Amino acid sequence: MTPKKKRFYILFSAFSFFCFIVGAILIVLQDNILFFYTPSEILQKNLKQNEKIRLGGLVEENSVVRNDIKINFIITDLKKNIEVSYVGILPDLFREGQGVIVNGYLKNNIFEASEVLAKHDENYMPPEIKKKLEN
Amino acid sequence: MVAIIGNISLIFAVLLSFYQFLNIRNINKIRTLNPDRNISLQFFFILTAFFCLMFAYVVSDFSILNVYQNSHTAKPLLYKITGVWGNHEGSMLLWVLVLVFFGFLISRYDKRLDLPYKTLTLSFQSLITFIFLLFILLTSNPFIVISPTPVNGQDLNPLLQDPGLAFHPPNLYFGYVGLSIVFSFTMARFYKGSFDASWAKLIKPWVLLSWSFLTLGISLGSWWAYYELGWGGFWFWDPVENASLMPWLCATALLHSTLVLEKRNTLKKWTVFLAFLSFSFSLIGTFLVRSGIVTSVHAFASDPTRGVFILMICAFFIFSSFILLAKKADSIKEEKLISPISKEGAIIFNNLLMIALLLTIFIGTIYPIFLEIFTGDQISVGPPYFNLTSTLIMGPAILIMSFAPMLNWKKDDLFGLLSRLKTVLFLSLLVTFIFFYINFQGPIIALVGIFLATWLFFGTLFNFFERTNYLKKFKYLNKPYLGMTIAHLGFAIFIAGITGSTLWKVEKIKTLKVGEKVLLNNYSLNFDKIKKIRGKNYIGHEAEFNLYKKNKFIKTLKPQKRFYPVQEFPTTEAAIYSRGFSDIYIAMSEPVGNSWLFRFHFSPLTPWIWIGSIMAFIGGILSFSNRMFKRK
Repeated sequence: MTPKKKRFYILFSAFSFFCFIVGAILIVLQDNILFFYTPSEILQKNLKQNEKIRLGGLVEENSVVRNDIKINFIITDLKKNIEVSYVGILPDLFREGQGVIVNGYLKNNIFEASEVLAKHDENYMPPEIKKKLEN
Repeated sequence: MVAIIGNISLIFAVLLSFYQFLNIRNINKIRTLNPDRNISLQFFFILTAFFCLMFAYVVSDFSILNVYQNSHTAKPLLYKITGVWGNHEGSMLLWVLVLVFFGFLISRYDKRLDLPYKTLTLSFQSLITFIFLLFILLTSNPFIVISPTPVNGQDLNPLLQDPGLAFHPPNLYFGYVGLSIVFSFTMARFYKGSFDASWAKLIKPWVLLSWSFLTLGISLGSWWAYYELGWGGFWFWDPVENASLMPWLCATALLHSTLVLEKRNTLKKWTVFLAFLSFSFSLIGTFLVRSGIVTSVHAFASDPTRGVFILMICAFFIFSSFILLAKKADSIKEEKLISPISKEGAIIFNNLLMIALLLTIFIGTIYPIFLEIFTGDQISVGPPYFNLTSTLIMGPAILIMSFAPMLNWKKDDLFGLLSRLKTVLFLSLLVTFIFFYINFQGPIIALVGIFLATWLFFGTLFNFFERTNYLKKFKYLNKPYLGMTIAHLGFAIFIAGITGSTLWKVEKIKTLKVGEKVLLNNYSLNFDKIKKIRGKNYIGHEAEFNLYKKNKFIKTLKPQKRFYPVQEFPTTEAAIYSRGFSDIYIAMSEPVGNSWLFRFHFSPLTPWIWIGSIMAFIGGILSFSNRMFKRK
């Protein structure tokens, strides 16, 4: 093999390895992304059955109802509301009137949350929510 | 007064680092100036600035904006001191302190360098220092004074008032800023000398040192998340966590490829590439954390000018170094071809897998950012993606890792080796079977995890016994080999820990009244009482649980719920009973009627995550201590 040919083979195999990895990554990635919506957007969109999504907005004042380990509350974007039900422990910084993000599924107009996130800072407003509320 | 001294020190340091960088022009002259004095002075001035800030925190000098925003007179002394790096400005100062400290270590203690090469290396290091000091002075000066002086401060985020987090940043910075010195060594080599085995010997101890502290820093952070965030998890694939994992993966690859370069004088371009890539990912990590592009407890800065400035720093170093490599690649001569069945072959395989994992994590981390810029869609990439890809890539890596150290350099016989591994295979299958027998719930993938961990553990041990002739030759063993053994064993234990903790965890969420109890595996937890507590800067509740195993009293566990009035911020202090093989974990939530809401975990093997990480750290340091201070 001439050095030129050898170099070509090395570069070619490195490049195909790289493409293979990136391709595989993107395929796996497609199945694991969560789209973020506000209540108004969710109600407009035709969601697929069992599509897991992220919903964000403000926890409406006086909407939290607790029943042992079950919690119901309303997420609002000041235009539309969505009722959320969740079983488990709320994060420390979950409070009425504050920003919150929930992951889960919309079923019969009630959002069944598998995760509730309210993070790390007392005045924390998830940037996605902030941006969308400003529009 | 303190602010003035601090500012002046920073300005002196900027001038000194710029002056040292200018020395690069003189590289071809016969006489080069000794950089030692300049580097020591840089270190002295940054240290002075750092202590000025620390002093301001300790005496609660609220005339300094940074202290006012992040401290409070009622804060315990430890957190006044560690609060220095609990914010953007202070932690940048720590960043630069570590940067000049590494320069100082090289100039004082690395006796293997000849003067021109040392001058050149330290000049490149000074360039990095200069740019980051400019960043501090122009966008993030910690010594900005406010007037009139406020009566009291706004306090530090209570989540950061914790010993685990107090020591996490210094260790982490020591790790990933340490990669800067490897970058400087590499840049300097393009102008003096060549990329041969002797260069690999020069950078190896510094890669080891950075890698070890990076390991320790990341595990301290994850330990903190485990007991302080109240979720019972130790890793969330948060962009900021990924930002620290990416340089680690790169440094791991680099660590192994320098070994090939040292012993076989090949893989030169690749090693240079990895050296640049490691530092690039340190910078990218810094950018991700500080630009405000992601939100998390680490993202203090949301000022866009800072983000742009750091992005420019990243672009400058990344482009200039890789363009240099591309231009000079032809002048780096590789010598030997590599046979796939050999130690170097296995290391190349390790490198490819590390880089593949790095790539998947990188894409998963930045994909949402790019998608939002180009389509406006807001998405997030969930843990399932990262769990799946990292398991798929780490699996084969661990399979090879077990026997790679036994392979010979140059060429080996794979079948001969595999037949020697029969015992290892038998033992690991046996242990996997025992685990299956003890705990046959849980997914099959858990058994794969346990098999991989034991395969690696026994493989490493087998090699160790062979090498030492069943411990008879133990005293002839060299430190790097011993370090490697400990680190690899640690990694095996770590894998078992992750497997147990993520796949066999039992979780119960319950509301309990005083006097009620909850059953968790063979344990019973009796909710005995609840009382009000008051700390120096918080108030809260503490529950008392008596832990019994088969009616035998073991321990009283006291989880707390705290409230920090200054920041109106609640925190959860989990109570953990650790037995070596498993953890019992209680986190307290809120009152529901006249009972309280709790989260209980039984997490098998979780303590092994930290034990394994600490072993990896010890292994790295042991290996480092052999190489340091050794003359050529």
